[in-house]
Amino acid sequence: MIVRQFGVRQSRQLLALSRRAPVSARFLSTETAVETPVTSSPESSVPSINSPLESGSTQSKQSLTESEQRWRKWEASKNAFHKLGSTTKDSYEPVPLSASEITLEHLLAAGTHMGHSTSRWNPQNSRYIFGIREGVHIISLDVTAAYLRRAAKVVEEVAARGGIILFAGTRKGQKRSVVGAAHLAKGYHIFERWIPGSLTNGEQILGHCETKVVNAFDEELPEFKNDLQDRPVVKPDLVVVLNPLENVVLLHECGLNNVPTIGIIDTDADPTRVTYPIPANDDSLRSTDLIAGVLGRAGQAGQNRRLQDAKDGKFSYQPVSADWLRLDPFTGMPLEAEQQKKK
Amino acid sequence: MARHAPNGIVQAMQLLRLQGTPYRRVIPSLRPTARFYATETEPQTPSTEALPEQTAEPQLEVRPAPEINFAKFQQRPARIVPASRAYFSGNPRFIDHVLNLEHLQQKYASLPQVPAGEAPRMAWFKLAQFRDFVGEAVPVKKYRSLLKLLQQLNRIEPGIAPQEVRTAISVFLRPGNPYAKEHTPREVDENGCARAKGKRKTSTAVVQLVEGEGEVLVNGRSIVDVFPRVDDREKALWALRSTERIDKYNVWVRVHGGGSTGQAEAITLAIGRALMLHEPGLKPVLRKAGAITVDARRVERKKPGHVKARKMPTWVKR
Amino acid sequence: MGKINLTALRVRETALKQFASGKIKRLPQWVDVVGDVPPPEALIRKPPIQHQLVRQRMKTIPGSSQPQTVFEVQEKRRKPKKASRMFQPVELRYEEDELRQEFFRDHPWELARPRVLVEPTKNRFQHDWSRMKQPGKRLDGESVVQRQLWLLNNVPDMTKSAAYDIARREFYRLRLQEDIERRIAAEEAEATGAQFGPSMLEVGMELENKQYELWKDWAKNEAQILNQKFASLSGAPELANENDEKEPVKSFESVEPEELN
Repeated sequence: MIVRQFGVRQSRQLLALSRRAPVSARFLSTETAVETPVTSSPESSVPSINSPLESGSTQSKQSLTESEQRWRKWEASKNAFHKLGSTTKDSYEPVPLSASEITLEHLLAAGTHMGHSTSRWNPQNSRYIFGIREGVHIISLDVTAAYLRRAAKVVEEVAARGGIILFAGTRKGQKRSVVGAAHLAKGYHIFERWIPGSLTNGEQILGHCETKVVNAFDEELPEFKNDLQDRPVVKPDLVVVLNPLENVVLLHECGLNNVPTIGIIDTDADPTRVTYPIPANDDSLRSTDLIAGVLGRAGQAGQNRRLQDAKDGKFSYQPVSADWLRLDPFTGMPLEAEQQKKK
Repeated sequence: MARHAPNGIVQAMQLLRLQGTPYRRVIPSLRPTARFYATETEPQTPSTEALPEQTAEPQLEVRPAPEINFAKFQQRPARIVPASRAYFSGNPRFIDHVLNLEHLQQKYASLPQVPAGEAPRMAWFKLAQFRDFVGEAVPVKKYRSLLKLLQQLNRIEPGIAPQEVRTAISVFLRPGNPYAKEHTPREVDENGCARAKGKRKTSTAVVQLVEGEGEVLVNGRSIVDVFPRVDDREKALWALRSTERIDKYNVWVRVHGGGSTGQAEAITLAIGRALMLHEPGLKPVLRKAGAITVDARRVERKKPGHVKARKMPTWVKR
Repeated sequence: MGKINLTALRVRETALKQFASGKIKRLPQWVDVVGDVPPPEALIRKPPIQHQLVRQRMKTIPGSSQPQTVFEVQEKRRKPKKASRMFQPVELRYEEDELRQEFFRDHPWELARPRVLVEPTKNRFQHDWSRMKQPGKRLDGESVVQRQLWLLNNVPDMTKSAAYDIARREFYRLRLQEDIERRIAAEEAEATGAQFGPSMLEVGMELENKQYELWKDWAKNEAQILNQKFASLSGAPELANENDEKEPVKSFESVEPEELN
């Protein structure tokens, strides 16, 4: 960060000093005075579909607008001065912490200990509560850390067995962490409303969504594309819910479909709704981000383990067989076409 | 914040629980941590069975794909997984598009942008077209948010906008370019006839105006027949009367739809517009006279639960 | 099932039963995971953690030469708890709370100063309060509270009010020092050519002037309109002209004698 700041500051001063140079260049040469930096060469081959774009770009070729010139200059100076100045150490890199790196201080700094007003508590949570402060329940952080590690272990193991992990956080602002965690753990995400019946009435709601058959390295096998029709929809093997209070329907459906769940349980939530509760503050984005990040990292570790096994030529889970894929999904018998073929 | 050791009752409960459930292993460390199934599934048999039949009929034009060797680890199916990370949301393709655009927006947030009015005009998909494009029932509100994203990306300075952004945006454009054809101003044709159209309520009037001595034909009849009321006649010819040109032009009108008021006022508008083609200098006069001002009011639709558009049924005690 | 829904906690059991009865063809992959890492016993209540207010003091005891550390535990209230409240959490209380309350009651304006809300994960509690000034921490009300607490804990026979006085005196001195440093820095900067722009007061005056000028324009206009109205009512147009000539606004300023004539 320091380097960047330095570059900007210095370049601005230097630009101010050498302001005369381009003027003289203009008088001496017939070419355009503005240098084009190497970084971006747009409009060289714009597809013919977007003619409005093209017309815009041809205009800009003839006469660059003021802001464009300014930006190009800035870019050129950035390139020139990028390597100057000091080098930074200890810069902030927004990589989520893994479960083994989590300390109570991290949890405290993220505000995971803040519960709800004492009047809103669910007495089933009494074992997670450390005390009362200013009329607010304080969640015991050592319990939080222990339960978080336990949940992370579950996520890791399920990921290592090729399970389908669904991260759900439907509050405003949880989108980024949910998508990030799903990306890390190679799982799936929900950041808008859970459509009721997506599990219990999956054919209707998720029936049109595509699935694919993959091998142990997660590469798609297109040969089976036709065999995927009329199959029951995919169901998750583990559901992580960042706001269980708003996702009662999702948790209920998980119960009906016998899917284990992990949830952040605040002092006003019901801990028996989920299989693995993580007692923590679910109203602070920092807290939910931290927990989603930890679980995402755990999932990543599990996936890496699974892929490593695949490299060694092993399945860490029971794979579907080609035979089974070629069976009729309704009758469980071989398809008619094949039967006729054999006759 | 010491760790809380379970007390005697808890331990007893735990023991009971552990012994009560027959499936739970008490000592997990004795079990291997992960099972491997590589030896459990043999190389698939149907491939070897099907092979001779295929060789028997090689003269067929449509040949099946070469048989897969499932013995190879690479080609053995392992899992059925959703194609998109947003599978469980119900509209995965749409959400993937949104996430992609948001990613681009974040990536190029530092690029200079032009004001909203100066960005190149783009013909994005209409909602129905977009639904066909993604193959999902996308709600209106969500599509609007996507359009907002597209417009923001479109506002990046056209000369600088990276190729990545251009290609990502161009996916959402309607085929053809509706904004390409230029608007040609209307003029008086070679016969000295000016055509114009006017609308009011549900009536539409098309007027042809030529220089002449003040004859008016509405739908082939004289104006007195069509509009028996003086008021309507006055209204219909107001554009000519207010500029004192009633005896200098011949008017030929075709009007349909609506009632007499609507038709008369539609004719006013149409004549005003046609007159402006003949004499553009009259515009301020016509504007002031109200002859070229469009009245865009239409009948408000009736609502369920109402008697008319807004009227509620009268309250009845019982 | 009763009052509590145990479906979520018994997923593994259910899966095994379903498999045994043939409802599902294969066991889910997570069955042995849930077996290895079982769900917690969420429903077993346990007595809440008890918190007591503990005061640490140094006291000189008549017999011994060295002052000794004494811990005073606040007496528990004798009134027995209701049985139903047995498992309720207990209030957390610390000695600083009283000190903090006292300081901010006396110095409420200290609450208006900007505060850093971001909590760093490292070196949070590694301050040595044997002196007031701390590296990496801004001087504020919390410094006084912590310093006072340190004095109470470590100085023999220290009373609360004496510790408060000592901490406050140090605090005022440091605040004064900060003020002087800031003023001198500004003077030095100005001497070497820095310009700080208009002060808050000047900006305020400028805004006020602007509004006043706007009002003057508006009032001029209004006065003219009023005059014209009066003139038309009385039917004497020359009156309006007369009034127009000597606009009422000119009475604000010095009217030159030539214009009156």
